[in-house]
Amino acid sequence: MLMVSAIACKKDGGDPAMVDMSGEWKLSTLNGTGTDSMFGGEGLDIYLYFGSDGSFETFERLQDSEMYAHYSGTYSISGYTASGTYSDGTSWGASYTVSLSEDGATLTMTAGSEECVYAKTAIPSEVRDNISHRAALKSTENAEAYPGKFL
Amino acid sequence: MLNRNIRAASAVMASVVLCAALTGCAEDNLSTGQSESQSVQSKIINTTMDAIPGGLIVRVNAEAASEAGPAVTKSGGVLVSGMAKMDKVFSELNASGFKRLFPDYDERTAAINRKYGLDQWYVLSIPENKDLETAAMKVAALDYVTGVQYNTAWVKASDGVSRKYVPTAAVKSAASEYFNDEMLASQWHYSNMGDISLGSTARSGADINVADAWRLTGGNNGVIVAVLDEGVQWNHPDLEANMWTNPDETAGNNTDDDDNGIVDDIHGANFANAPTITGEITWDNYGDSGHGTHVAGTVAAVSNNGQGVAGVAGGSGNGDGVRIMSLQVMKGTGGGSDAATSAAIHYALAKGAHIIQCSWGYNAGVMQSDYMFSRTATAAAIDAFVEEPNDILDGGLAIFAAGNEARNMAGYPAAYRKCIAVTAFAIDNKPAYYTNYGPGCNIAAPGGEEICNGQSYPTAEILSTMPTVALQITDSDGNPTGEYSSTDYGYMAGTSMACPHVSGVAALGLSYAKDLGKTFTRDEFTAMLYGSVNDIDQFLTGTKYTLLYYQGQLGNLNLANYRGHMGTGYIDAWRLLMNVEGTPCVTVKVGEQQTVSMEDFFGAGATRLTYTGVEMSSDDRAALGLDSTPSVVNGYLVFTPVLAGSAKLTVSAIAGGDTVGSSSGMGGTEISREISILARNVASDNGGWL
Repeated sequence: MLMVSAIACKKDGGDPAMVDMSGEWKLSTLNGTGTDSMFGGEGLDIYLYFGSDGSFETFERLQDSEMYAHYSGTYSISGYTASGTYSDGTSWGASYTVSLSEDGATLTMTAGSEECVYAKTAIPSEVRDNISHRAALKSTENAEAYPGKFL
Repeated sequence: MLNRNIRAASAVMASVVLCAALTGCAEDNLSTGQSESQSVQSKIINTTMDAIPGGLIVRVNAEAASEAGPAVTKSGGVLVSGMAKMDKVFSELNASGFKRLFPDYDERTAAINRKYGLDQWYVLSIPENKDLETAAMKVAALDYVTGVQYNTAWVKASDGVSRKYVPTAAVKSAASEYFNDEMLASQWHYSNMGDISLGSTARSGADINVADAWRLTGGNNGVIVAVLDEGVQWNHPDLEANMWTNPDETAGNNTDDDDNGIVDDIHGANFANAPTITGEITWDNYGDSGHGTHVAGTVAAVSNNGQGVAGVAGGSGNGDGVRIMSLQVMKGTGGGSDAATSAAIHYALAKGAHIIQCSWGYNAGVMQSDYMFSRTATAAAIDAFVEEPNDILDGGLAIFAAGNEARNMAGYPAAYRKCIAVTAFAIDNKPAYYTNYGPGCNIAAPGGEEICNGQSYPTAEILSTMPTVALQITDSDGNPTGEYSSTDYGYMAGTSMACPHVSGVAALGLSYAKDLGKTFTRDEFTAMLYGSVNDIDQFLTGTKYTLLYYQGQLGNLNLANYRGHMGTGYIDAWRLLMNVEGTPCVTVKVGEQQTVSMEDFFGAGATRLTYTGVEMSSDDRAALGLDSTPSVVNGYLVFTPVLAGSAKLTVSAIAGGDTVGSSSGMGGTEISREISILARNVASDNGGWL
């Protein structure tokens, strides 16, 4: 398996089968449905960051909120297949078949019958500045053990 | 201590008798074909038990209120309303005053008074030697009178005894990692490390879990908590910086700058002699116990100031603590009264308070349905307070102590559906021996308890601010006990002390909402508050060796009696702030049966709650390919999505007990949470998107 750093081959005109996912993305459609129309029009906001160093981050806006759940971890890519592991050791829900549009503006990630299309979009600073602290709660069961850690 | 308990038990017995009488009245009201005397009697709202002589609270119809105006004035030494029948009664009773209970402080207040019918409530002043029942019947017989209420005295939900703070070798608590208050390590109720030097039964985690919450906010000085109690010592060095200050009043000029009829109401006002209201707040009258100052300190003693104690929402040392408005409704041995508390709640509304913190009430059993309580002036004031919008919620929060008679029901007003009723647990995470529990109780918080496995540990009570002068403690008859209050700081116990923990946490939640620019409906916020809890029932097995309230001696308290009756669980500040931030949508996998835990929405006691229903529109069901609405089984939402898609549903549960309270019976409060469901073909185990 090649690590993401090998993706540079494509940029260098190397292995054409390697997909360079690096960059910042925003989910635009899920199985063909526009995210703006989901949840009765409240929308679904998902941002992804894939680093060229094999790191990734996800940002998901909370229900009725301007804050975002944040996850991070590492990923790798082999040919057209991307897989990854969250920083808590949990694997991605699936390995994804990935493809880029000709102009590199659209990333499509497919797993089974699910297709997510992402548009290349800079993650707004207000997203990174409004990270929810909820993950600390979910990691424990007992009040005394809450670490309350920032992610 | 034991003598106090026996007296309290006697009071409870009397309450039961009274309750039976009151229930009879309610039934009379429901019957048809009432005789004239029955009709008059039905206007009498309560009984003369604990009634304060010299006055009646009277509700008139809108026409009479318009005729009488703010107050009926004297002419030739007698009251003249212009309404012949009323003037005749005034004369017969030798009445000296007929004055609005809820003044029109300003145009906004006048509009609120009209909106909620508060302009129809008056206080009739009569000589103290007049027989109240006779007077009440005369007034009730007037056509334009719709209700007559005896001005009942209230009881504090605490015995008033305080214990001196003695520096201990308490280990550094998690909370003291954030704030530098010198006594913070002894405030186990904020962050309990299980330090047995504070109490031999101390259990780690028996607290409000506020330490980490303070990393996000210590408070917001735009949030106001009105403390209705004995006067708060506003110049206490650990409180003064967090006292609310009336922006429209200039201190010490002996002038009513804001033209609200009260001179120099700087940090609140004194309602102890309502309908006379003054700006002078007192805390050191004979008979005062320091109760109000102690309660205020738990809510918002100045935190991180290098001295004394911290408050739950006392700020971070940068002037950002929530503000305490002192509304004095008790004075010395006089206790509170319906007139005082209702007028004080109204002032809180007029001056923009977000929360009323109320550690007092009727003894449990005096009233046993919302119907009975809802007819009172205090209920009218609460109704307006919780329904009138403020800048964060669409209605204020009314937080009350459940009561200290070890009864299996909350006392009123706590039990009123529109109020949040707080039960008390001890340093061991188990119910304090005195706490009320059962119908009407919504949520638990630390109230402290001196006895730990039969041994005395004053440090197992709640540590907070106390008046800086020693006060003579009196018994319930007003006689000196020979004990004096602790000064500056001290320990007290009771649901009185549990209540301000919930008020403080709620204020912290409102502060965080204000910091984030978020607003909520009162129902939304209350549901979040009730869902921000840890499971207390897990500790309720076997017995604990402590004081037995009714026996007045040490013994084994059967904890099974409290299971499911302490409210939704015990309050957790961190969880509330997370709920304020928002909840992620629940991602589920298509084609597989889903069992979604309700813990994120209803707290760690979610598996033990009674759920009343799930609502989901047909469009939302169709979006997930569901034939029927999901159900909640043992705290888990169960369904099998067939299609990928997004949908919303609403789950409802009972906060406190297994039946919803109604006008005819006590019970819990129904709360609802909206949940967003996203059905995908991919779902990670940790909730992450990928």
